Amino acid sequence: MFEELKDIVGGENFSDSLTERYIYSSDASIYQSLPSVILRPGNTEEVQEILRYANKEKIPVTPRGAGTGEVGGAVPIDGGIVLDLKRMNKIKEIRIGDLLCRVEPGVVNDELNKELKKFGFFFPPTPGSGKVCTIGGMIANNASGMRAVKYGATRDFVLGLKVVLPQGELVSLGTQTIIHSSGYQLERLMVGSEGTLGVIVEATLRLKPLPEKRAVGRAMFYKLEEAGKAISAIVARGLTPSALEFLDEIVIKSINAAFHSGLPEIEAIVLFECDGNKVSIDDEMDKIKKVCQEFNSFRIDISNDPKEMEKIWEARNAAFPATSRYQEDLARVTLAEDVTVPISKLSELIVNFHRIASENGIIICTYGHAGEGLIHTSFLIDPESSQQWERAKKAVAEAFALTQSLRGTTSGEHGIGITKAPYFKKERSESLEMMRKIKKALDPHNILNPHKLMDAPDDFFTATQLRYAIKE
Amino acid sequence: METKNLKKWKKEMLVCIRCAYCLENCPVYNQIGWESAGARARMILSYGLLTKDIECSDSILEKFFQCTTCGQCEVNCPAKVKILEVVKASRKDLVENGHYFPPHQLMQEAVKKSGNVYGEEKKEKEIIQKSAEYALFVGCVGTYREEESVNRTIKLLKKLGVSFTRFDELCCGGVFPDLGFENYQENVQHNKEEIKKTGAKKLLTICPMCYKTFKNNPEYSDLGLEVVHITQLLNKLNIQVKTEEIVTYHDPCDLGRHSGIYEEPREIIKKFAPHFVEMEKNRENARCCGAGGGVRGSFTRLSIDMAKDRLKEALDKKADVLLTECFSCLHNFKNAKKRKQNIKIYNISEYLSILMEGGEK
Repeated sequence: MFEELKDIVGGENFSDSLTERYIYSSDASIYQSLPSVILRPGNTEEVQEILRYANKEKIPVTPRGAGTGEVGGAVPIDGGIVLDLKRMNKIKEIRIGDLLCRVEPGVVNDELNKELKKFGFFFPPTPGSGKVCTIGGMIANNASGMRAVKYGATRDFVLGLKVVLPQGELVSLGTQTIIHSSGYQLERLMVGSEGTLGVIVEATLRLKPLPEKRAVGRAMFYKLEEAGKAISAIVARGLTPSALEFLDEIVIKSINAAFHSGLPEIEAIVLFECDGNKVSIDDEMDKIKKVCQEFNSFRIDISNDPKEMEKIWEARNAAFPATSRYQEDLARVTLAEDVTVPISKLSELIVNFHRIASENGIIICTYGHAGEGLIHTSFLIDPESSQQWERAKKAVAEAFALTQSLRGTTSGEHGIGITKAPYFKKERSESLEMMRKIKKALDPHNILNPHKLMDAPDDFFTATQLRYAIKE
Repeated sequence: METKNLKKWKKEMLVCIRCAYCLENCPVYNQIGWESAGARARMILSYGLLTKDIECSDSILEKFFQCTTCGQCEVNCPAKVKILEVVKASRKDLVENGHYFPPHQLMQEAVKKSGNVYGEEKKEKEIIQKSAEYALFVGCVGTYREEESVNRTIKLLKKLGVSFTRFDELCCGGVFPDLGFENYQENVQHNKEEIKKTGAKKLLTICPMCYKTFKNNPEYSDLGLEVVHITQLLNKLNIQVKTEEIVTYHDPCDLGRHSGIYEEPREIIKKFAPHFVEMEKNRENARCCGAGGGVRGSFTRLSIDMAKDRLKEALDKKADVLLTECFSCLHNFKNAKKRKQNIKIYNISEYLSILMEGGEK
């Protein structure tokens, strides 16, 4: 059946072996679902041919970058073809004079920035997975990262796209200009569409000059509420840190337990970074420091020495490994891991997340991009225990209900995929119909990443197979 | 398939969230391009085998044994998962269930029969002196594949007045746990007895794998000797020669990532090479040469391709000389080097010996 597909990409870029299918059945989410075949196209024409064939035969196609997504976006829930786009990894051109570059979807974020650095420029979105994640995946999920507080998300840097639509047509969307007011901004429709509307085969991205210098600071707070108020005040007073992060008490304790860091075990630590020229940085850092002091931060460390800065960031970088090792019988599962609320509601959200965790007998650690109102959570459970999953499910539902009551959103930067779809559908109930009409118009046979986003099942737990061997 | 070894590492498999950060700089993934070549795939397969979600196949065997066990994945892992322990446990379970690559089994048989991984006739060692500070252990790759390099290093040690002796060494067996096989205990006993007979207080190794084995493997823990790598010794000695050549250094995985020895080799080199340059990937992010983990024996082409990639990094820096301190890296780089490539490849100790003899300045 797949001989035609094999002919399109060549035998070395085709696999239907069980081992390959098993490996491509999961991403960084909680799911696994076997595809029938994996294809690694090398150019736009091959992508077009594959989609024409899939559309004709009504075979599901799941586009995939590095598979770093945490919500099941790259899990082939209906089987079919996994389209691994990492071979399409050319930086086609860098036009500094036009403040843009053109790249293929498989270019890795950090690889692009390495090239741009030679010209003194950069592509600002900095997801934690930047060393491996691809530009195509970042666009499909509208990824951002800790510097979004100043620079914005991937969406803000996509000027134009070339996209292969589900029936195989190639379309150019957007422009190669910094601004445009020329009709529907369809390139933006593709950003965050999670591979459901088309396959991105080229992106024109806006560039920014690299800042001359950076400085970082760390402020300690006895009270989470006061940290929350300080964060809100920093942004409300027009200050523009290039990162504004926080860690909660459980995370701090985990870091101390795992790495003997000797951090004070208080309710919150706020980390901030400013970039620009020396004068502007000194001024901004001083102002942020004063805001933190105003809200009773009892200790603030600031540095622009590279080694010192690295040490200050260590605490933030240690959050993930430390929480993974918090308790021997628990592991982190990716659930409700990037909810986002208006910045002023952040401390209320965190306090109530801890209440929800306690009421459901599980542990939830919180840390993340405070300046964007985004928190990353670590749900710690025994992932092989069905009872613990029941508790986690209840906590997730309550966490999302709380987020929505605070006028927040289901996902700040990781996307919806399968895991968050039930809550996304509640949040966006008024626009679901429009989304489905757009999907139907572009993909009448529903072949592209089917049953994701607004079409994903209503119970994330039974949506497809979980990757854990769960025992009763 | 029975998975009694994997069972011990279940927590690691559950802590792995499959984020794929391990793909960055993975030398095998860089060559093959399929995700199945990276560490995440091996974590997925390991959990699949443990939970009996999948059965072993030739293709699964291949995925596990294509890994050079270089450890770059562990450096990248944000959750600090003990990936190599999981890979080694999987390999052990596979071998114990009868799934292995014939060259690895032949290697074990060779060690039993001849005392070295190549199954070659034992070479007599020159006993330098009866009573010495250091007992020198050279290892299989040096003795049987890089003899010239070994001879130069020995000449250097003599010239520098190091008090050392050699003994009737057999393969240390360090490679076998990486391949899923048991070490041959008779050789371990033999080595321990021979080392004790020398009366030396310290064991000096050139090969980093041997260093790691004597230092860390429980079967050698009762040896009661300080284990010293040659770079640690050379760094304390007075080196008076100089070279004007552009020199770069490759961190062997067993010396760097696995033993934490990054600075001593650099400090030595900087003493004699003012034009020292770092390759783009260095220290804990140094790219693997491709020789480790049994890959050279079972996937020779892949192994050489990895070495070519690393060699290219040295050439990009316009280095005249690529130095390392590992016979396996040395051997693989020499095999990967094209005739037209004008770069010299030596162990540090070997190159120093040449300089002290008045050559290559």
